[in-house]
Amino acid sequence: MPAHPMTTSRTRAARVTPFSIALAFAFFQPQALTAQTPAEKKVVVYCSIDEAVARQVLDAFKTKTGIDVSTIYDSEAGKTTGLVQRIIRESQAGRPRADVFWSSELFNTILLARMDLLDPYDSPQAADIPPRFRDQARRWTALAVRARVLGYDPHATPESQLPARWEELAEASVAKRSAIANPLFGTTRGHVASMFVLWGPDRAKSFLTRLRDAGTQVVDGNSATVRAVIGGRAAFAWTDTDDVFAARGSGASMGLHYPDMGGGGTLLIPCSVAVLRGGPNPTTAKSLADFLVSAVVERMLAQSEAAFIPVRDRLRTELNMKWPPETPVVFDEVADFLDDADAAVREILIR
Amino acid sequence: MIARAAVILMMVAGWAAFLLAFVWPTIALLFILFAQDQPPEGGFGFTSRQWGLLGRSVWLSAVATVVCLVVSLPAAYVMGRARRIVQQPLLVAAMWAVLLSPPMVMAFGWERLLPRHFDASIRCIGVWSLWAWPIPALLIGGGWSSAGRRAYEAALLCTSRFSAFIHAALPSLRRHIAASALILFIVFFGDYGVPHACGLIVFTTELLAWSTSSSRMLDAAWPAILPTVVTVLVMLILFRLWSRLEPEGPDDSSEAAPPSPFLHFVVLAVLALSFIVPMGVLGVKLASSMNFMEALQTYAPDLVYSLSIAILSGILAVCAGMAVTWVKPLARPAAVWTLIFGAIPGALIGSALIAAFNRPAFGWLYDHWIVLALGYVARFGWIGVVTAMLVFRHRDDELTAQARTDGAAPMDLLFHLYLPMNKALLCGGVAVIAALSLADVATSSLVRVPAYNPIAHVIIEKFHRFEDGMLISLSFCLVIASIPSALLLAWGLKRRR
Repeated sequence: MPAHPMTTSRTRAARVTPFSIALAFAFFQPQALTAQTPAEKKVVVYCSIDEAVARQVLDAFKTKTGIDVSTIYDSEAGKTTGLVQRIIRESQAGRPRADVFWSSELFNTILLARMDLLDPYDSPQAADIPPRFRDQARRWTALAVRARVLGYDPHATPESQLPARWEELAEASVAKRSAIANPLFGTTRGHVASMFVLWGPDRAKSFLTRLRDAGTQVVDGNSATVRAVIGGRAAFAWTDTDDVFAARGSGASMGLHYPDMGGGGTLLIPCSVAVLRGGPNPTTAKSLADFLVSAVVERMLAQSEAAFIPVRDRLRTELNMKWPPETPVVFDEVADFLDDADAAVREILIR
Repeated sequence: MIARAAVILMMVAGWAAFLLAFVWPTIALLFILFAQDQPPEGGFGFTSRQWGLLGRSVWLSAVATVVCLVVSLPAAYVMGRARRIVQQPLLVAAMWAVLLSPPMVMAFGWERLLPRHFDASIRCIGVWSLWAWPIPALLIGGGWSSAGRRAYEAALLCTSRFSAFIHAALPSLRRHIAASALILFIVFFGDYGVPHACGLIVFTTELLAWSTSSSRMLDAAWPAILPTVVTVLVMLILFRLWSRLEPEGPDDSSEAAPPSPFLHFVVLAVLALSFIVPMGVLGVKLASSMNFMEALQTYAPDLVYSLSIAILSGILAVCAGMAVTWVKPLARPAAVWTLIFGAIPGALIGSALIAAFNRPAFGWLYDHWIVLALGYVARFGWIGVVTAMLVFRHRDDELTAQARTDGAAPMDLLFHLYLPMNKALLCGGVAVIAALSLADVATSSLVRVPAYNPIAHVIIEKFHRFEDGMLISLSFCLVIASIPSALLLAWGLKRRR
């Protein structure tokens, strides 16, 4: 006959239960953790640069200044767009939470500037950055570019089979062996919008239609396109240079090709830095912005595994890096076409 | 006195979690949805792509649920053969360790093991099944430890142990099997990580993208209707099945012969296949002590935060389940409420929490990691409710009546009867919720806080950056961190049986 649970457990009544320990943790821990750094020694940054790279840079800033950096990185699902929408939501709620936006691309930052969510700040550290990489109103500064490239496996695809122009990616024999990230997000979004700028809406829509009809694989991210090539599921990956370098770093056989978008080159997409309007720590925000646009950080980004290409001539000379073949496009014009490109992608490619 | 205080504390925490994770986000979400005067971005309709993704999500989840239940049976059988679940502490510990391992890493391991052109859907189903089998094993095994076994013992007189288990024991555990199937389906249906790692786009993948890329709540809420309807239908079917079942008999603690060595071998084989094979191969191929130390040095705070908050979420969710189910008149509506949240995709839950707390009045919460814990409670709180329903299923039985006659107050019953009798089940519930919270990407993609980067997101980042050594090292860190907890749990259960 088993003992009555009441009798066996009453003796334990005086003991501290795991529940009470856990609940005590739940109730007392937040207060302990929120009583931390004074406001003037804090800065909050929303960051869509790769975490491993950004962490080194932000750690260096903290070491140099003693300012504590709290970071929210982008998620794989929403990428930069997710952080931008967060900034917009927080601003609409009358309570901006971030001080600095450090983005892996520029077009969304331009949109934020147009929504009047960025504070002008003319950083002295950005004085040597070429004018076309700086907003005239000084609401954003761009630097450290990546190129839109075609990734391929040199063992599986000979160079002679590589398309010379991006538009050739829509040819049936090539398109069906290609993988593209969802063009509503990330750098692929800007890439498609730049096609609208360079080729005109009709030609760009026709291009998207041909991609769809030929069965181009739409996957959920640039690195997924690279994985599709590594896994043999695709021959060509629409991606960025840093994804190719990352794959190579892991020992994968991955070639890199710059198809022509018009004017002899491909799209180059710079990172961007902006001070957000109404952020909780405006003084430290400027300190961080100064650091992020400085040559020191651009050098760090160039020397990272992602191998960003500096916009400063002297840095490229110093690091022996070449400017990739570039298609002439005005960043503001690409930002103009983001919505049109999104609508076309929804209507044609992602139905 | 301490018992009373502990129960009150548990109930207060449970109700606070319920109000903050379910009630207020619902009000805020509905308010914002009705305040929007424009249709969703794609209009009031669903595209063929959305229907196609929904179909793919349903069949993948349904097949994986069945496979997972089958895979879990040997372990459930071995645990069921013991007089109580606590007699298998090492098995419980091992299963918890499997659950705490990020499933995406296992997907990565299988990617390396299987041929390059291996079908991604089959890989996804296999990874889900071989990761989640401890959930049904714990629930079915836990149910066995507190459910009647007379039918099984009687069946043993005329048939083999295995046959008796299949034909007599399992039917008596239909509620637990139904609960397991429900949990598995919803977990798989709402999962982002494994399909993502297998290169598959499912409905969750795109819903999360829609949610994060729009600042308008309706753009996330409208497409979320489709998966919500599917999940609600599955819930209705399973709960209808549940309600038709006859109540279980009283507990039977009679001694039983231990399970055969062969079955132990089968369980060990499942453990090896689900965990040791993919992780071991990755470990041998990729990890180095340098990577491991680097991972620890770099991500120790994120690891500690992620583990702590996941466990805290499990405890809060179970407390919320106990609190709402305990008050009889409120139990049913509150339970339905949490279950509806269980049916809502994680992306929409994240949106609801943003709608609730992205306000000046909640500034103290919005940026704080506690909001992430609330997100996990909102997403997996229904598991706490299911756990509490299993705990309170004997509320009107003879034992309770006897205790009441002896003068026990309701709080005494809770502290001295239901909690001690269901320790294993409660710990299992906490473990399952903690494991799911650790692996969650959907809700935490929207509810991010500056304090730390959830480890699931770090692992996804490492996966995408091809940083295999770091990815494996971080996964091993999680597994290593889970082992003391798993062993402590097992030891505690064994000691208090």
